[in-house]
Amino acid sequence: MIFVDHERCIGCYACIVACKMEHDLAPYPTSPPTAEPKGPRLIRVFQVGPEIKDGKVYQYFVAISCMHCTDPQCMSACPVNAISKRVDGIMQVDRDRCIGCKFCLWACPYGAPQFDLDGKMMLCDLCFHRLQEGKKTACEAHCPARCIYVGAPDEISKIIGQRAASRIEKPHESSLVA
Amino acid sequence: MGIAENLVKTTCKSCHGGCRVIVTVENGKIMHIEGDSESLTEGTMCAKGLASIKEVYNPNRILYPIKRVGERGEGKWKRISWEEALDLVAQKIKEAIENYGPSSVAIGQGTGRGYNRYTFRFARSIGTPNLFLPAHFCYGPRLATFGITVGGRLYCDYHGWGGEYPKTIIHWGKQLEITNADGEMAVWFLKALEKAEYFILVDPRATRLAARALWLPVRPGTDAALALGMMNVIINEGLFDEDFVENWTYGFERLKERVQEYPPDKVAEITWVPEEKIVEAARVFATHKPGCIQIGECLEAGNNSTQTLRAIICLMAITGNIERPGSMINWVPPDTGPMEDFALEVPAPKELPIGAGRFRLLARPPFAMCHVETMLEGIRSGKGPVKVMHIQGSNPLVCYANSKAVLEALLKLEFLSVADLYMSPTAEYADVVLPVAHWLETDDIYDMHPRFFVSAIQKVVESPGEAWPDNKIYNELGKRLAPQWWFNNVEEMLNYQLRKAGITWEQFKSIGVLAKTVKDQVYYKYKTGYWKKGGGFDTPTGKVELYSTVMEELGYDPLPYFKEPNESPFTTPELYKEYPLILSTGGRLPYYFHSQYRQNPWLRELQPYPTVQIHPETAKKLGIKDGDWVWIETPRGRIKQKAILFAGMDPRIVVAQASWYYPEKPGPDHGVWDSNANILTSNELPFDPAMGSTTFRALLCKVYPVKEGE
Amino acid sequence: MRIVIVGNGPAAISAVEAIRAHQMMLELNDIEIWMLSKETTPAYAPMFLTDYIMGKLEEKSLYLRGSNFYNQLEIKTLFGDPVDGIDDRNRRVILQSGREFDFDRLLIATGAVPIKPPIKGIDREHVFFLNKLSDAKQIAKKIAACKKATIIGAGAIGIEAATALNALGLDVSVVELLDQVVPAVLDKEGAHYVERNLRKKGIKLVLGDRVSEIFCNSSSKGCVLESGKIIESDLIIVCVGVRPYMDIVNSTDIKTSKGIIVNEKMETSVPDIYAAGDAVESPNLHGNYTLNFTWYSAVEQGWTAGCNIVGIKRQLTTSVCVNILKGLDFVAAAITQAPKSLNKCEVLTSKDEEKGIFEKIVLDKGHIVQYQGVNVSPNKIGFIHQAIKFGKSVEKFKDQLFKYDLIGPYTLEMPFLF
Repeated sequence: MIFVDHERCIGCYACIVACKMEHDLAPYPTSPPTAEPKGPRLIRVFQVGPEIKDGKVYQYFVAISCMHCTDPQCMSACPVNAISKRVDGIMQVDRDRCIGCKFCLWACPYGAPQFDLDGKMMLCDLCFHRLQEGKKTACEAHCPARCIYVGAPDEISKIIGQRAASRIEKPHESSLVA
Repeated sequence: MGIAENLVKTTCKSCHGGCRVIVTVENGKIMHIEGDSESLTEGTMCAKGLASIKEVYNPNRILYPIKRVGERGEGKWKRISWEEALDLVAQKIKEAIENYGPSSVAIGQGTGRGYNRYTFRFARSIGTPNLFLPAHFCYGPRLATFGITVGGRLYCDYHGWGGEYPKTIIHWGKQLEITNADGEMAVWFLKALEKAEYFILVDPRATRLAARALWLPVRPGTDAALALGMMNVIINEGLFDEDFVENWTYGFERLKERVQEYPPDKVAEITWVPEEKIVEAARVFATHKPGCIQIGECLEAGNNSTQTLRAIICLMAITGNIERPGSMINWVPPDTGPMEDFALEVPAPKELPIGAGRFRLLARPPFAMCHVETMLEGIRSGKGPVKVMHIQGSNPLVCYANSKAVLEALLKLEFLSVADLYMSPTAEYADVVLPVAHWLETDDIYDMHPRFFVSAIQKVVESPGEAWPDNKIYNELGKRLAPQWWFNNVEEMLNYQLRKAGITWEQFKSIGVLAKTVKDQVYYKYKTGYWKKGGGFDTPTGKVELYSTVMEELGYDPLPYFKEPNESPFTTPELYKEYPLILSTGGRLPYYFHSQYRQNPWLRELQPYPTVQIHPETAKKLGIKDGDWVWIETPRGRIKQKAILFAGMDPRIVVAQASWYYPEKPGPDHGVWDSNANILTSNELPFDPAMGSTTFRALLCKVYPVKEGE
Repeated sequence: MRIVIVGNGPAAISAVEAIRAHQMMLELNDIEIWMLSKETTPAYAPMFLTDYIMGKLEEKSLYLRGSNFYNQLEIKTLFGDPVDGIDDRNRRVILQSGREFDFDRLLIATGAVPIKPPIKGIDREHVFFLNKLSDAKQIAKKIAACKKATIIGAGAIGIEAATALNALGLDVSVVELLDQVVPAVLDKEGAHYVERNLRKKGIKLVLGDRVSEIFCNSSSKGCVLESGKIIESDLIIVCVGVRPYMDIVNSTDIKTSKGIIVNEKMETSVPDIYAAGDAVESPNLHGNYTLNFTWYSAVEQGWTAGCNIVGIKRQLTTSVCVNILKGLDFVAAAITQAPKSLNKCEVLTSKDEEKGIFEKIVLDKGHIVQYQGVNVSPNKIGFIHQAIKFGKSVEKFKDQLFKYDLIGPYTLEMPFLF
């Protein structure tokens, strides 16, 4: 599974482009660019804030991809059974079955389903071809702020726990966000 | 130099950083790029580097040398051979030198991508002092002020090789996490930030790190006052480093007298930063050491750039944050020695550059440069010496103040040659355009800013068409004009540059990086004979010159001071009535670099149009909603950008994005008059008196919605 | 054990998959499943009938599962012989042909049928409904020869049909009784933008009127409206709504109201008889019993029913009505899980007349219960859907709810929420 620590994300968008390159995703449209162009993005970055409350600044970026949920809403939503979960938990899409109806998109709380130029759905595949070679996912490997973690659920829990603990002990250390 | 097969390690040149990357090639085509996890940059990359495949194979690249056959800007070109192109450029330069003298030739580059030393060497080798760069408002002031104050460039020590990481980090007008790796890089900074206890952010806007920082929302253009105010607190409260000040600085008493003019309450009024924050920041920086200050380019793009930087360097010095592990350090260069020597070994021309009389720090050796605005004015009026210009990788129509005036000047040149990857608006007005190769198609040594390492950029694929790397273009041109300074081929030139390290280019390619890290870096060098026998800094007095003898000699104030921006509510109150908002053109994005990458589809889709940050209150008053197109107008002209409501700054400030043009719009202008921030800036006096810096970050403007049909 | 399922739609398919999946887990043997349906095709997705008519999807693409589905899951099927009635006392179903099926457990997933308004001439041969694949096939055959069409009813299906026929080049008019389109989906304000888009496409809207007669004579055919207006059309599609198909439970003890009433375990009032899908009235998060003519509900209800049929006590805790309007140039959606009372609810709206954006959020003590959005980001719909489904509190981000891309702030709080 994948965890993005929003307290470290600096909004550099490298993850989006790393993923695009890894999966050779289309950018569309580009020339001339439309007002809201978006090629399919298997990971997306959102800005929250800034908001200034009592002199304190609240501002985050958060990167979200398919969360490979344990109870995937998209899977039950798909009329033609095109979405399935692999044994290792990674979601996958059968593009031959997909009819591009977007029912998965209306069900996913993260807006993860993306649609390519054929109208077929695609999801973050957790770069399993890289994981198999012992490499990190494209987004995790390139993130300069080291805010993306991909691993087994218990590994991730450990990391989150460590970070939370150190934030309590030493509020200035190990966090971009006070 | 053969083309590598399968996996090739090289260095990315998409910005000034130089991350190490691994490129996968198959049948001569690039399939994949990723960071090298075993390198100094630990495998990280940014959006720009990762999108490089779309640069290399971009259909808009210039493929062949072309010569203009219609009127300037008509867009009628004829393909010519490299022989013909280089012969023509060389001939024009030679003729100009013969008829008018060497000063009639101007050689320019832009932000530079590691070929700065070639540009300097070329200009010197043909004997012209008129080397022009945007350096007087970008990096040049840092170069000069560090040089005269400390003797060498100082960088933030984020690496902890001396056993300590910075406890306090100040980012002064800088967003290192997403832009401008001028010597330090995001991945190193973010690691150090994790370990830092205090982080102070000086920026009119609450950038991402403001959530973590003691944020000083400074009014644009008033940073000198802030630095002097902080020093006032530090000195008066006795928080300065007594030992360092006593033994290693010069002019402390006089600096102390100067800072009395800047008590915190007065500074708070000037800078709009609350007094308690100024005092807190000063105390934190002085007591929680080691500390470092990351200086941003915005401090250099104003009418008081030199003194602003001098003040900040003094702040580093009086707190003893120089050469101490975790503070500011002058890196010991790798075994190759500083690559800049390659330029400096050619003697400087005897004639002085344009503007030398007025901007004496800018013209000071060793990196003497001409003052661009004066040079362009001279071309416009016909009274200046420059007749012929060669531009290597720069887009003056976008990057220099008052673009209209720039175009006027370019059109009056007798001959203009431009080398670029794309037909930029500037290239469209040239007489000859030379196609340049991408870093994935180049062999070179990357040394953007002299620091502790140099890396090898290895050619991975052939260029499309006949594009040549910058170093090859310079060498071939150089051979025609000053053969004694140039080489048979690029490999020879690279071997020559590596000679001090005792390796050849072939060897360097496989080594990849030559770095001096950890034990090889030396701290407290001033206590050794590194710069001066018996210890000391490489300055006239051997000490860190708080009171600058060089500035005194050149006829400038030897102590830092604050000066109001040329256009401000206080200096030009009448203007302020009509243009009631303070404009900074410092808006930047992590996936563009100045005017680059607008034609890269993966990057352009992230934000296809320029945006201007406006405070929601201000926007409401002006009837502007989030996402509306608005006009931003100054006395020089007006541009269109999309409004983004941004609550993280003073409502009186507006921050526009710079360097925008639209490659997809038809030539020759490609929409350069639509949204380019330099339509708004001024190229008229007064500039910074010592460096001649133009003002980009503290202007006055008005903003109003774009009506339908406009 | 023999399980008989009446119906072959999403609820039925979901149920059999649940049964077979848990059967393995529970190591139950000998479960015989019969699926009885009046339609003869394999299970298909009824939401895409207009795509079929437009030629965007072929019949095969509409099927919910592969051709080998029934064999693989060992489902015995009897298609084409509709179920006539249920003898709940003797636990058997009776088919039209007279054949009878005993059952140990019964699942009624008969879906919904179109409401047939009492209009004179409604049985003429150029009048169609749009509810089953057979309807769509008939329409598709006729289209080539048609030039003008009238859609009766501007509900979600009505405007979907209108835009589909319009895209195929027909001259389309829509007649609606109320003074706005999609009255059951959007408020007047939001509907206004939808109407604007429909008119931009060249679709004629006749609002506040009704069809009093459908005629067909030698020279022309079409419909006459109450106002006296006459619309010539060689194709008429009736889309005035659907009702749960409950005829087969008529002489049983199975309680019905607007639909077949079920509890959170999908049990009807008669033991061992379950119901799921468009035919039922089910409890939602707020304790209300509602009809839900939506895909997501049918799938979930079917799964829940299937689980309970084999003894797994799974509860249906939510029933969300999700309506996404198709065929427009933008996304328009309405999602609701009806609260007990709208009285104490807080209503937030946001609109931009110029850009044609409208959003309405109804909060019940900080929990979203209703949402309407016109020209909003498609990426937002899923988040709102889930927030309404599970009754999440969005009190903290009330001021951010109208952002174009909503995802950020909420997921910061509970990244593993969903």
